[in-house]
Amino acid sequence: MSQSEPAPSSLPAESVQTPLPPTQWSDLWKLEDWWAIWLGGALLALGCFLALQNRPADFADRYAQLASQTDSTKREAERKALGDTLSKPFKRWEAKLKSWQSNPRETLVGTDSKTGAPYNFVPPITMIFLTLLVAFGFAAWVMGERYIYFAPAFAVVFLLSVVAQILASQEVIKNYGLEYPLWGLLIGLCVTHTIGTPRFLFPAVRTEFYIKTGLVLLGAEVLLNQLLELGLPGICISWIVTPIVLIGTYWFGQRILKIESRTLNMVVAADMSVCGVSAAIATAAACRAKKEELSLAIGISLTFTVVMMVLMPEFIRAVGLDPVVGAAWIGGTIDATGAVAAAGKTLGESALKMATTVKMIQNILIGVIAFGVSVYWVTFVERDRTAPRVSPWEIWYRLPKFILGFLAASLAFSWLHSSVLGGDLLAENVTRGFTRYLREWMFCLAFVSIGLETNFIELMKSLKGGKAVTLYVVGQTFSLILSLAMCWLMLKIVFPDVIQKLNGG
Amino acid sequence: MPTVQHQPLSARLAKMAFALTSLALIWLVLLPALGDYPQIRRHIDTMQAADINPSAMYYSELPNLPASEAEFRRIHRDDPGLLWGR
Repeated sequence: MSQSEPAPSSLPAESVQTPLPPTQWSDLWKLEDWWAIWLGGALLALGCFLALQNRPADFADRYAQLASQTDSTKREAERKALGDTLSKPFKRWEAKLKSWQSNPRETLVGTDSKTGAPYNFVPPITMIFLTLLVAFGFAAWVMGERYIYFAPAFAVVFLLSVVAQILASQEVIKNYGLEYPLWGLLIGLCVTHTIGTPRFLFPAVRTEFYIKTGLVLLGAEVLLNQLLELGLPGICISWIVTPIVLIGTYWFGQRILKIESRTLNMVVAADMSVCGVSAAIATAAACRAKKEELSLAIGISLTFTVVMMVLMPEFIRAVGLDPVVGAAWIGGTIDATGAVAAAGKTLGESALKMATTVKMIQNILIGVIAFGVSVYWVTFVERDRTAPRVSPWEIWYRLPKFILGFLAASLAFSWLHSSVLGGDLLAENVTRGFTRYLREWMFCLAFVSIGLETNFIELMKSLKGGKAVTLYVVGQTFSLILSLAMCWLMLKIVFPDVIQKLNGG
Repeated sequence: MPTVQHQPLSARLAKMAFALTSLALIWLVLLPALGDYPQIRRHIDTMQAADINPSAMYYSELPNLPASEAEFRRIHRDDPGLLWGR
C-alpha cells in the first residue's frame, strides 16, 4: 500500500516512489507501521494470557497422555476437549456469522437450523468493536489524532463493515466464495459515489493501518512447521510450483505484456499463484501497491475463483482423474482457500482433506512471499538507480516495518506450535478462536476504507487494456499445467501409497 | 476523489436512494430467488451439511480443517516415513 505517513487525518498519498525521510526514534510511536506491530503484538499477547489463565491445572499431564493414546479418534477428541479449555475466554469475541437466505437478521440473531440452539452475535460484534476502538483509538491519539473525532468516525466505518459482512453472509454469495472484501469495497464505493464520503469520517479511514495490523495478526497464523504436514509431496506441490508460477507470471507481465505498474503486476501474480485475497493484501502492503490495484486484483481473483470452483471438479470427474490427485491440483491452483475446500468436498472426503491440506501449506508461503517481495522492492525496484549499490541503511529506511511484526509473529507462534509442550493447542486456539476474528474485521474495515477513498473511474483505469486480466489468465493457465504435472508425479508416481492411505487403506 | 460533494444534496440523496434500492433488490429478491435454483440449492446444502465455509480467506478460517489435520497426524503416526519416501 502507499507509504505510511505520521498520523494522516486525510487521504493518504498514492505515490509509491516518494523518498522516505531517515528513520527516527520517534517513528516508533508516530508511524502506523510500528503501531501495527505494537497493536498486533499486544493482541496476540492478550490472547495467550487469556488462554493460559484458563488452562486447567492438569493441562500438562493431560497433554502428555495424548501421546500414549493409541485410538486416534479418542486422541483427537481429547485433544479438542483440551483445546476448548484454552479457547473458552474467547467466546466473547466469537462472531461466527451465520448465512441467511432472505432475512438478513438471521446472520446475527436466530436459531441454528442444525442444533436448534439460539444464537446472538450482537454481543461478540460489540466486543470486537470495543476492542478495536480502544486499540486503534489509542494509537491514533498517540499519533496526533483527536479521540473525540476518531471515535464517532470509527463507529460509522465499523457500522458500514457490519453491513458488508451481512451482505457477504447471504447464502449464495457465501457459498460461492465471494468474500467480504468485495462487499466492503462496494459499500464504501456506494457512500463515496452517492452522498460523498463525509469529512468527519476521514480520521477513521485508515486503510493501511487496518491492513498492516491485520497482517501482523495473520503472521501468527503462518505456522511454518505445518508446511511439513503433507511431507515431500506437499512441499513439491505447494512450495516448488507456487514460486515458479509467481516469478514466471511476474516476468511475463513485465517483459511480454509490459504492464506499466510493477505493483499491479506483482499483486495479481501473488494473488493468483499463492492464496487469493490474503496473498494480495500481504503483497500489496509489502510492495506499497495502490489501493485501486489491490481492489482490481481481488475482483479478478474472486471472479475466476467462482468459475474454477464450479468447473474444476466437473473437469476432474469428466476426465477420470483420481479424486485425491484432482484435489491436490485444486488446492494448488484455486486462489481462495474456502473455494478450495468447497471444490474438494464435491470430490469426496479424502479429496477434501487433501485439497485443504495442500492449500494450507500454500497459505504458509504467504509469509515468505511477503517478506521476499518487500526486500526485492526496496533492493531492486525502489532503489536509487544512480547509486552503485543499495546500502543496508537504505533497505532499512524503505522496508515496510510492519513486515518485521508479521515475521516475528510467524516465527514466535511457529516456535510455540512446534517446541513448547501444549504450544500447538495454545497457538491454534489463540489464532483460530481470538485473533482471527479481530483480523477479519480489520480487513473488512480496510476494504470499506478503500471504498470510502476510491474513485471508481480510477479503479477502472487500472483495468485499461485488460492487461491485468490477460496476466491472470496466462498465469493461471501456467499454474494449472505445472500443478497438474507435479500432483501427478508426486501422488501417482513417487508416493502412490498416500492415496491409498488417505482412502483408509 | 469523486466530486459528488459539489452536487446538490437532493441529487446526492437521490443517488443514495437508488443505490440502496438496487442493493435491496439484489440481496433481498434476486439472490434468494437464485438460491432456490435446484443446482445452486444443492451446492449450498452440500456446503452447509459438511460445515464448509467457501468464503474462508485463510486456512485458519476453515471449520473442517481440524479433521484434515487429524488425518495427516494419523498418517504420520502410523507410518512416519510414508510422506518422506523412507
